[in-house]
Amino acid sequence: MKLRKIAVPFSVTLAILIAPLMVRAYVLEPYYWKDGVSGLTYKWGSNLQTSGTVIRTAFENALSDWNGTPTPVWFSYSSRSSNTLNSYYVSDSSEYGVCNITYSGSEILHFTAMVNAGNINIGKSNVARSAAGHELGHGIGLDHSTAIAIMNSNRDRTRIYTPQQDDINGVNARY
Amino acid sequence: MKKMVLFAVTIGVIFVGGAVYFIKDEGNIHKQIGTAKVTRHIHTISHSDRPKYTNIKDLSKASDCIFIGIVEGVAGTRNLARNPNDPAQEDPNIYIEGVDYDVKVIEVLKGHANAHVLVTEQKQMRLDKDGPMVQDEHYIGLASGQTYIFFVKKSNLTGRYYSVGDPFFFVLENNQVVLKTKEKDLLEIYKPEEVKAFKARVKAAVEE
Repeated sequence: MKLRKIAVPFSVTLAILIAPLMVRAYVLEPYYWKDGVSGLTYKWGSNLQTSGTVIRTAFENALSDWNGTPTPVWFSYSSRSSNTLNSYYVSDSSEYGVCNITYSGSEILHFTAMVNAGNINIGKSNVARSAAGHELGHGIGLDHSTAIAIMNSNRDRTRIYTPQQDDINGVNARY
Repeated sequence: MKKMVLFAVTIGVIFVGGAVYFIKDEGNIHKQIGTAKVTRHIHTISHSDRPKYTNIKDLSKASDCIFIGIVEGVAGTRNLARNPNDPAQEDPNIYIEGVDYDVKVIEVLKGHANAHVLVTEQKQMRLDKDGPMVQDEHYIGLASGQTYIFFVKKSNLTGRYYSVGDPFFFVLENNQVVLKTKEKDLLEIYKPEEVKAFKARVKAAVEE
């Protein structure tokens, strides 16, 4: 009886403390890379043939960011890759980037990820890198998240510009 | 003797008939394999990274202009993707279609807007010359004759108004302000609200 009196409040307290840690916000797309993400390749699109531009540098940083995560993700360059990284210039839009994913059934076949060089905020510190990291996240099969994550559309792009724990959890849950 | 002959003929008929059946059946299998079509459905989906505002205060602050207006029709469509080196020219490889709507402005809640303006909504895109045309994941479309509250930015390049992010516009119907979006979580946040109360909240956010 005495044990029960202690055990019940203890269990409830423990559950309250642990519950937030178990909450996941990442959202996985229904499609993914069937052969995993450790051998992903990319090539540069028509507007990113020259190195040193803001958007290309942002993608290079974002690729390093993803490659540095404790996940199986590894991107490497191949001129023959079917995945394309590019930039576009749309000034009549608040869009930071876009990723078109081509899939068959549940298998991703290839993707095109682009960052909008015409966005009025794109030149602010880390914003382009944040957008590039977000689009690469779509390319590996992550959907938008509501957590503190690079996949959250409501993030502060000057502060959240690398994959966060929620993003890492999402990738590791899938692959 | 007669019985034996009858038995032999019966066995022979069964044997030959069976052999013919199996040969024919195998032929059908081969035929089926030879003509089988392996159908592979390929789809392309678009995801974008746009600002998202989870309260009226942030949404109002981020907007250059907030106005109530009636959509009078489609003014035209155009390629929003420009050549980065010369924005007056289209990008030769990328097509991002924007729809321009003629909007008659009734009331301005923030910023400045003329009596008639053009509001642009992104509709669909083809990210490389040989790629498929893919619908924008946020595209809904505006209805002619419908009254909306728009949360927009103004383009320095074209003078047109475009989405501040999500939410972009609310419909005014039956004295209610109703959000139009494909983002389910925003529909939970911005519930239908009486027009007067919604406008008061926007004005308070603008004046803050």
